Formats: sequence, C-alpha cells, structure tokens
Amino acid sequence: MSSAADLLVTGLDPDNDAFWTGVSGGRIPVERCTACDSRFVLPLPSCPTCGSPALETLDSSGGGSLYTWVVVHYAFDEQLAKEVPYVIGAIELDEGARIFARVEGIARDALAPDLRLVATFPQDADRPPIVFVPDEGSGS
Amino acid sequence: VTRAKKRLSFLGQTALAGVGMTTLTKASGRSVMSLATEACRSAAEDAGVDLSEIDGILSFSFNNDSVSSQAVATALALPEPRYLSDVSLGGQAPSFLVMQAAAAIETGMAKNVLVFRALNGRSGQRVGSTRAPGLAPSFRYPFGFTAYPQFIAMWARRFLIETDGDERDLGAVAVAQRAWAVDNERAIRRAPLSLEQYLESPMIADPFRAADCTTEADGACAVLVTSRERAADMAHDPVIIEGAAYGTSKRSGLDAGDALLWEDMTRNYTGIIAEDLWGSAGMGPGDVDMAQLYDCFSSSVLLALEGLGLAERGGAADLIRSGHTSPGGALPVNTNGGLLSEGYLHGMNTVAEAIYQMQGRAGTRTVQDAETCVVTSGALTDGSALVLSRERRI
Repeated sequence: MSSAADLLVTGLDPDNDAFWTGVSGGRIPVERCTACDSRFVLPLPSCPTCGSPALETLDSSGGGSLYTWVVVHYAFDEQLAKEVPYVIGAIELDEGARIFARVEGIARDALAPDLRLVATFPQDADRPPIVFVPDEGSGS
Repeated sequence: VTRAKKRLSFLGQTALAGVGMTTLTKASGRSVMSLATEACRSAAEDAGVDLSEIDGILSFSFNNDSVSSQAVATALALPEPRYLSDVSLGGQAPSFLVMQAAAAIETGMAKNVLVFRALNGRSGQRVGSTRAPGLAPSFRYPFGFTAYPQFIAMWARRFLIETDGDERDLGAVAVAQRAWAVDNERAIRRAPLSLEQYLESPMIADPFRAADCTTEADGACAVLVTSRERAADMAHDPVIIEGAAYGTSKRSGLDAGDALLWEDMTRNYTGIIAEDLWGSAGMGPGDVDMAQLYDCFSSSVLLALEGLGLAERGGAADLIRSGHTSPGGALPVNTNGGLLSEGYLHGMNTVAEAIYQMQGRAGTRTVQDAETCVVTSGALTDGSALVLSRERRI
C-alpha cells in the first residue's frame, strides 16, 4: 500500500469513496446543497448549513486561495519524518468550500493569505494525493 | 448584563469542594487505573468526605486512553453509585462535566460526584501518536496533517494574520505563564522563560514552537462536586458554581481537527458561549478577579481572552505584555502556569487551579482577595466554561 493510502486511516468507505475516486482521477469533488447552495468537500448525508439532504456533486476547477497554513517541522508520524519541513494549507476553493492539502512550489516566506493556488494531483504513490502550487496564470 | 431567560437551576446551589491530584511526571511507572483511583480518593479526602458518601463519578477520555468511572467506583468500593458516566471528549469536557455533575446533584440523581481525568499522556499514549477514527481524519492524514498541534497552528496563524500580530504575541503567553509556574511545585516546566529563550525554542508546527505547546504528562486530577449546603460542612470554603455554559454553533465539524466548515478560524467557542456564560452568572467580564483559560497551546489563551470579552479584538497579547495577567496584575490568568507549564491533564487541572485559588490554597501564588474566577475548557469549535465564586466561612 502506498504511504498516502496508508494515511487514509479509514481507507475507502461509503462516505469518502467518491471523493478519493475523484481525486485519483484528477478532480476535487465538491458537495453542493441544492436547497441553500452551500458547498463543502467532506461528504455528509445532509447539508451542514440548512440540513437538507438534497445534495449534488460538482467538480472543483482546482483553483483556490490560501486561508491559513502550518509549516510542519516535527513529524508526529514517523512515515512523515523524511518529508519535514512541509506545508499544509487550508485552501478556500473557488467553488466556496474549504479543503486541507499540501502546498508546494513556493518559498515558505512567500506564503501569504489569499495567495492564489491551483491543485495538482501527483500520481506517485509516495506523494500526497493533492498538492496545491502557486497559480502562475492568475495574475495575482 | 441580563440573566439568561431560564436560569440553570443548579447555579448558586452547587459547589466544588475538593481537589485530588497525583504528582505529574513524564513517566509514572503506574497504570492509569492506579492514577485515577488515587486522584479520586484524594479529592474526597481533601473535602473531608468519606468515600461511602460518594455516589457519582464522571470522566472523559480521548481515543480510549483512560479507565471507566465504573472501574474506579469498583476500586474505591463505592457502596451505592447512582451516577457513573464516561464521555469521549478532549479539553472541552472538564467544565462541561462539572455542569453535568451539578445537574445530577440538583435533580437528586446523586449527592457527591467526582469528576476526573487520568492518563499516561507522556509515557503512554502521546499527542499525535494515535490515529483518530472516523471520516474527518481521512481528509487530513493523506496530506501529513496528523496531529493536534498542527490543527491549532492553523487557527493561530489566521488569528495572527487578522489581528496584525506576530510570533511575539504567542511568546507573550508562554513567557507570562511560565512566571506563574516558577512557584508551582506541581508544574513540570518551572524554569523562568524569557522572550529570547522562547524565540530560540524549536519549531514544531510553525507558528508553534515547543514553548507554545502543552507539556505532556502522566497523572490524574479529580474534583468533587456537591450541593452548596453539604459543601458548607466540608473541609474547605465552598466554591460556588455561579455560571456555566457549553456550546458551539452550526458547522462545528466532525472532530477536533475538522475546521473545514468553520468559517472564521480566528474565533472559537468562547465567543459563542460568552453571552450564556455571563448571563447565567449575572456577571460580566469586568466582574471576575481571575481567569483560568484552557491552554493546550499558547494561542488558545488569546482567543479565549477575546472571546469572553476580557480583551479587545487584537488586544490580548498587549494586555498580557502589560502585566495585566501576571502576578500582581489586575486579572491573573493561568496561575498554575497553565497546561503549557504544569502539564496536560486536558484541562481538569485548569479547574483544579481555580478551586485552589478560590479556597486560598495556591501557596505563594494565591491571589489575595480574589472572590470570582472564570474557567474555560476547550480551544476549538466547541467548549465549556464556569464562573465560580468563593464563599467565605466565618
């Protein structure tokens, strides 16, 4: 099993299967509530904003803005010891949902709130499944 | 301040009467069962109550790192337990469980209830060492987002961004609290800490250095909750439960690391429960003489000071730097050195310190003439808090 799959912990299950299947295909599925238009990525049986079970899935464009981030220097999991330091971001997707993912391709002191990022999907089993990098085409 | 429309009936009628704590160590060499039993026995003895009078125990644990209340009741040979319960919660639990104990007492379900937390948090199951179950972790672990310090570091970073702060704001918390810990013989970290030393502390999860992180510990802490009437006949001055609240809002998430739905990571539960808390006590933030604020990490103190209205937006670090929360200050905060210095019993010891202070039993750290104290439990989207007052006996 790849280290990334190892770290899924729960593995694929009925709740997260569609999300990770989408990611393995280079997409980020986003849940949308057809009643109130809320968007979220972590699959729930009903909308956390209005409670409606009427949900649909759309695909994120992969673009987003950096909300906050942490630079990991100490690996709490020994599998990650070879990767420190690394950056995890909380990214606000343009579709209006937040996601946690790895952020790379930028100096740590250049990280800033609202930094424009775009998702990439490394297929290498030893890499995180979603890595955001600076969006060079965004002009921001 | 207006009182909550329906006042919780246990407020003013219930009290904290005793504290039991084991020594806090990095390697207890003992079982959690042994630690829990010692702390519970000590709390009853501290209050001068025979164990045969204890009829309730409440506890909390995280990822099965503790023992059950039933097990401790068995070890203590409690003759007639009427209220034994365990919850799977972290630092949001201590004040909440005191509320539950008080409610059980007020309704007649039990008379004297112990609330405890016990763990081998350093030599046994450490922070970040276990993989949490459930859906939310599967949206973190693949990115190497695995541990509690990392989760809260996300909040701290955004807080510093929005309040125009920097690492020195976090350092202010660590430095001020260590000054309290120097005189606390229970504390694991007691060496004075300067801001320069803080800045040299190794990065763990930037913006958190080691000095921003709680001190993992082996140990146990228990407190005794009883009626105001019975407390009056116990060994120490009753500490009256004047105000209490637990709460969160919509979109609070699936677990402690799940902030995917929480819109504003610069504000935690403290701002949400503040109105309930102060309203229930019939007091406001200007009416308390000290604060014991849950501090698994330095930033949670800044968020709590703001959330409870004890500091202006973005003003908490300046307030701390001014000496306001330090020994001799107008609002002493975390007078045991906090979880940062004393050790991480997930905030049960935060409640304990409030009791020691209200009873005038905090040694040289005792804040003279302090009559009221606010206590918080939790750092993230949900949490609980108490307002306590000292009832002096002639």
